[in-house]
Amino acid sequence: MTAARRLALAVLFLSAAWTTVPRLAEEVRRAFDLRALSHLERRTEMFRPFYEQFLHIDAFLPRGEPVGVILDTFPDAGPALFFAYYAFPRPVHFYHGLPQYRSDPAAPQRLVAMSRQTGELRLMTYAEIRAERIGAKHVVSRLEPGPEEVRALVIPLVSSGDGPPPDVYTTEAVVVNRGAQAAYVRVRMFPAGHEAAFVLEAGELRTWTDFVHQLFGTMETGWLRIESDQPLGARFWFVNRGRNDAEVLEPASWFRKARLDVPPGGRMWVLNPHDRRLPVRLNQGRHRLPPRSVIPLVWVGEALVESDDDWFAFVSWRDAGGDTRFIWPERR
Amino acid sequence: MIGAIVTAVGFWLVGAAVRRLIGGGARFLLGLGTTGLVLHVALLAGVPPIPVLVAIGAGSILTLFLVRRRAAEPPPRTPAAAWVMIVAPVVFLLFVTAIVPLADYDGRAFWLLKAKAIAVEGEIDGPYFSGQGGHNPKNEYPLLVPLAAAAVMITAGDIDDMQVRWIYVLALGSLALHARRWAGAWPAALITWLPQFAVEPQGSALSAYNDIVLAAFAACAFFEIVERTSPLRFGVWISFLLLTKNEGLPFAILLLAAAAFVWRGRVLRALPPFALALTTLFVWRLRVQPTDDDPLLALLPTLPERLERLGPAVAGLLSHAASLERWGLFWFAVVAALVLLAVRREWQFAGVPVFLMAGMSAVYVAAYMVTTWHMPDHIAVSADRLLMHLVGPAVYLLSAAAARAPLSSRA
Repeated sequence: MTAARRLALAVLFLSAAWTTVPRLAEEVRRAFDLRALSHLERRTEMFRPFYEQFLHIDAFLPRGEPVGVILDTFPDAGPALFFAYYAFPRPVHFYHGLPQYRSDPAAPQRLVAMSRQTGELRLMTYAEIRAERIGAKHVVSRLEPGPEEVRALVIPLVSSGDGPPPDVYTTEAVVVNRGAQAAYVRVRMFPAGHEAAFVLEAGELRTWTDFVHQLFGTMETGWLRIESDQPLGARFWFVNRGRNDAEVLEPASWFRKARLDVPPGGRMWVLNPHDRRLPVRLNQGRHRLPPRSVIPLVWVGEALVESDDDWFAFVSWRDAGGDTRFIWPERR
Repeated sequence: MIGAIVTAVGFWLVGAAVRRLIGGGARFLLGLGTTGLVLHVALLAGVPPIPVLVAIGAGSILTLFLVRRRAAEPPPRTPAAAWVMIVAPVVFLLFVTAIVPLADYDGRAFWLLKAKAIAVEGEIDGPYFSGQGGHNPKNEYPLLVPLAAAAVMITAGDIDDMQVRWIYVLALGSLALHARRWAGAWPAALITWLPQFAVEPQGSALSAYNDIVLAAFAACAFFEIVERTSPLRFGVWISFLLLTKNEGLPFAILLLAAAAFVWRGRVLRALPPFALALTTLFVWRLRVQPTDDDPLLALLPTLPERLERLGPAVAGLLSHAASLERWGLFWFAVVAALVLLAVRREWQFAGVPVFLMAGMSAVYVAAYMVTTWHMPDHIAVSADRLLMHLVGPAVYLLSAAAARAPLSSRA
């Protein structure tokens, strides 16, 4: 080999070694540092906190139980893929957002979500992830309570639940205590019978983005009875977050006879506030409503609704844009 | 540790046995490829992997006992310093990969997840590959290396990736040692020092990407063309090649074209193993559903509409070749070697490697032009790994230009 060729070869080796040697030395140093640890400890050390969180979740779940991973943003993909890798043979299914999860009839019950802020892996329920996504951001742009002051109030329809994508139903609410004394507020949800209470300090205004879930920790539909030892101002909205749509919910005022007109595709909701079955007449038909129930009936056209005791009915329908609208009864 | 021993001894043993039958070298690579190919064919036929592995092991030992050693050429002359230069990075890499956990992307996200699935399910069209066993990304990626890794996992009784880390390091070592005969000891030693092969987190021997293995199979096939003695052996290498990665099939076709030019009619002897592997690949793909694979073949007709991407795609590939951090001056040297050979009018050495390197570069540029990815992102994550595939012809060019007399006058 001539001197020139030797020199060229040496330059070539040096140009490669310039990067390879320090990086290989760093890897060797790392291997020395890790060699006393067990294999799991090495991985934990290298992929902290991801691998610790993975081990915690994996140990908590029954062996072989499928788990879903909710991906909201592209950067989630890497940790999600590695979660699936380390979890194998546990089946791991990926969902690009909650709507895709809801669309899968065979979706696993357990879900793993990644915090957008920290990348933290958390084993969560669908409701918990949904609540976190909803957060404190209201759909209603002007959250103002009504001018009336009441100590008792019935909201005929409240919901925390999801329909086919993109429908995500919540109840947004605002309650204010304009008085000079703290108000003790008791809220009951029917027909489930959930009960909760809270105190509103004098002058305090409080809002909810998903009243049912935030107060009762459940995803259900029903009606509310609210009682307070002080007069309150309040307003509730039926919200479809998937469509950015909000419609005011009128408080129920009992009647014995009313006329309702149900547009095509609409539903007539009938509410029995009593603890007993309530016989009612819808046009010429006779029905008995279950205790404390609110029931949607498929109905088209005019309905004359009557009973010998107090009750309530209203109509919901969706307009051409898919937004939910309500028709409240004319009392007779 | 069991997996490391199985990797080092098992594949070498299988390769030594196959070598008794067809000659040649690179026992580790030959064993790795043979194990993957045989498992692929057997699993496709519904045979469970454990009897297949027992048969491969027993068959290899029997072959070594019963078949006489072929009269082989003396090993290439390797100065002690060159030996040290080849072996030293490999030894350090073996030490590192025996201790430091795998931290790459594709190896964990795709390749070794497939290996785990094969090891657990004992099938290549079972629940995992049919989408019933959870997330199955890149479902149509070829399976030769995952099958070989699964063989190690099954033998070791553990699907942890620590069992298979040495596959990639030993493939690099085997490639460098094998390249000595045609490229010379020093250019071959250079391969183990290239950052992209040695230490780059994505694609090097520290990772579980398949690019080193693909580069090695492609180099072995190329060296068979240079050697001109065994079209059958050449066919075996290209059969491994096309089952290793999607890029393997166009590379195998280009190699076949080059081999047909060199061997004329004798190239037909290369076709049986190639046809077997190709059939295996296509039959398997008929049984599994693609998931998120980029459908490049289907996108190729859009190439004329994407001509404005040609310049950026070529520039992107060249900018990666010029990366000192990943390649040192390697590709500059290859270009200089090519110029030198052109000046000396030694086209007999440059013809085949230039054809292969230009051909594959054209394939990669075309893929970048039609990709559904954001092209600069696609280039950023793949160009260096694609350049790895060309290392065999590249080091041959270096040696041909550097040698006063060509290293192999048979080229």
